[in-house]
Amino acid sequence: MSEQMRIDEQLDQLVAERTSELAAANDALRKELAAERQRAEAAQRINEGGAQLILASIPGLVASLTPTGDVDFVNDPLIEYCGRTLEELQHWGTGDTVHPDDLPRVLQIFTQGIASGEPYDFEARLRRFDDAYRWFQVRGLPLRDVGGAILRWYTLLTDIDERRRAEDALGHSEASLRAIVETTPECVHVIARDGTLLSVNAAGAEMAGAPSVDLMLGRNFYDFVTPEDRERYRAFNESICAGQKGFLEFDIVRMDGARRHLETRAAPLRTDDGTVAQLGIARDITARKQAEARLRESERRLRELTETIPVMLWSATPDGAIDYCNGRFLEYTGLDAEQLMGRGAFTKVLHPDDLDRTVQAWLSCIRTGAAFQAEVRKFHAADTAYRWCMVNARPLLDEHGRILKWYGTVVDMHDWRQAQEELRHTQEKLAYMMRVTTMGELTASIAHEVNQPLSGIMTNAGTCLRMLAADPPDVAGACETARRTIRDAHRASDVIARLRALFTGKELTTESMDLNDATREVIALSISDLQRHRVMLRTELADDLPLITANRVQLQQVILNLLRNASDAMAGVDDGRRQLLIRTARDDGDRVRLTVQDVGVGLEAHVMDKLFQAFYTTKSSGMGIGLSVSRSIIEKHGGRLWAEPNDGPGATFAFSIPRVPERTADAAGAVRNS
Amino acid sequence: MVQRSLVSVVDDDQSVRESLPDLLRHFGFAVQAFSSAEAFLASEFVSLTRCLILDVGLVGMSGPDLQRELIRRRQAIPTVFITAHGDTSVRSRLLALGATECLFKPFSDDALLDALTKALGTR
Repeated sequence: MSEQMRIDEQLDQLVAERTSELAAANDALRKELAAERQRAEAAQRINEGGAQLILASIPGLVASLTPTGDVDFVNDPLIEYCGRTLEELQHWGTGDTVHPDDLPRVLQIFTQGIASGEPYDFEARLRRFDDAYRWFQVRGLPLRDVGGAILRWYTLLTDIDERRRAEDALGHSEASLRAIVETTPECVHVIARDGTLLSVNAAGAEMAGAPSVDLMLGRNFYDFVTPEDRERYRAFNESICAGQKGFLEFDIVRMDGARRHLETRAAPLRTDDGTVAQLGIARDITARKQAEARLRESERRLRELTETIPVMLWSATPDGAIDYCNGRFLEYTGLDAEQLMGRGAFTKVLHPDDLDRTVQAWLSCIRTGAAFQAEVRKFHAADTAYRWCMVNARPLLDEHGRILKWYGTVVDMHDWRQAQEELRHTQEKLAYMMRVTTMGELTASIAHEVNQPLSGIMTNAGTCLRMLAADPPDVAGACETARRTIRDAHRASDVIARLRALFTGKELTTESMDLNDATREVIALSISDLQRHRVMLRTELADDLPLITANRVQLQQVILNLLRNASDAMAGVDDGRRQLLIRTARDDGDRVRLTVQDVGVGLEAHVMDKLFQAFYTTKSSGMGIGLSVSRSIIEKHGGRLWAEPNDGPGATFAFSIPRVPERTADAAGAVRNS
Repeated sequence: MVQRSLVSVVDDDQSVRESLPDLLRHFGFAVQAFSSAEAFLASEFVSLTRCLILDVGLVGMSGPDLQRELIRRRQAIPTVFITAHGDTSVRSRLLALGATECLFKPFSDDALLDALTKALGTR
């Protein structure tokens, strides 16, 4: 800008020089005219032509006009600038040589100048040959004769476009600056060293709760600052006025009594009277402070939550490196944060057997962004043991689906899992017990079914005998009772037929099983019963027993039946001598054998062949179905069930079955049933 | 025995109701048979019955229920229970409640006669 001004000055100087040259030339001309007033008109014309020659040689833009203001000469620079002829320029007042916006004003000044004979001077935009308008200063001076009459007007046109533009720009930027200051939402203020508010923008007034700027000016700004911050603010203001730049956070009380939190950036400003004041820009950061406080509070709560929640929490970077574990996590593992951070660090706390599959699954999730879940055994510091835990993690994704972070939990479910396992085990046991003891239930209801006709049989038979033994014998009555005896015997027979059908009519469903396991389960079922009856149980289960293919429940029913029979057989034996031995062994011909040996009442030779018939029993309360059904079951498995007296007291019952039931056994069963 | 003692049989099983009366009559008793406790209570024979042969597991009012009801009415009758559910614990409980005897079906004619003798002898 200063360069421009310098150029302008030079130009002005140049114009002034040229003008004085012109004036000198005019003066000379005037003298010459005065001296040669008497010379001929023609000679005067020639001299005037000479003047025009001079004008033509001036490098500036020059025109000369008649006393009435008509253009009668323009020099070449002006013709070149305008790109128009003298004739065209003579009509400048009606054309577009002068910018239409400027023309009315120009015509007024020009007309007035010509009319009054006073020099005129105006600024206007003139059209260049390329249709661009540039600002010119136009000065017109009249040339008068000795009598004072105007001979002609000389007009000098000076290009001042650059200067005008610079001035416009300056004016514009000053206005912008004012507008910015007035419209900025921040408080812009000037405060004197003693605190007097010298200047403030509208936002400043609003910030202080003042209805207008005027109500603020002249007041002491210290009065707005809260008492507790006032001294600090005073020191701050004085340091700024002493030439320092500065920054301060402080509270004010607005004129409406509301308290606000401000921050001010300030710099020294030299005022018109030469003193230094504070130029400050203050910003209301109450909302930001509150938001920060809320954020801190929410962070504190979150931290409280993450530290007190009874779950282990962790997070990891997108590549799977752990970058956070909550306190519970650290406490559980007994490691410190440093030891758990980083890629692969969590493997330190995993059971070696779970390591491979867990790492594979985790790496796969890191690749795909899928949610991670694994049941793993995790090291538990308190009892230096591994406990079952459920680990879950989910990725936090950005809007493009890229993983930003992994968030995960670990829940100790060891007790739960164990409880579940125990429950499952109990349920299984219960189910077995119910299936196995179904036979006990069954025999009870069968007992009722069978005892009724049996009762009839016995009564009828007794009556029959008494009738025949009477004197005279009641033959007719005896025949009737005998008929009823037969009928009741059929009823009983039907019952047992139905019972056998229950066990032999069905398809034998088999599974691979361990006879020892099945035996142990039956013992577990019966153990309380045996203890109540003071039976001492000994087991000799063979180590080398092969797996067999059999119906587990049915075999267990047989074993249970043999156990109870043995227990019952020893009811009359003294306490402390009721010994029961269960033995399993391999048998010849790819078979397995189970024997139950008691020290009870034993078996007499004559009962041996009746033992396995239905309704044969040596017990007072039994009804003789168990062994019959047991034999059916064993035969169905292609095996054999038998009994033998011991060398000493008691009896031994045993069955032997092939490892895999033969098909012929099934076929035989089917035929027998049909 | 000028007037034969009345023995009433209450059992829901037909075999028993057919066979027992014959045997009892052969023993020399007068006999009435009922298929339920309710039928017996509704009959005119309650006060005439010298001995009751009573099934435990009757449908509707059970044997022990009937015994309790008779005691409540102050019409207690010497009772021989019979049951198809052979269970020694049931027997001892019934005896404790005042039954003369409890026979498990099937029972012999001798066992029945012993029980009856016992029941009537206590009168």
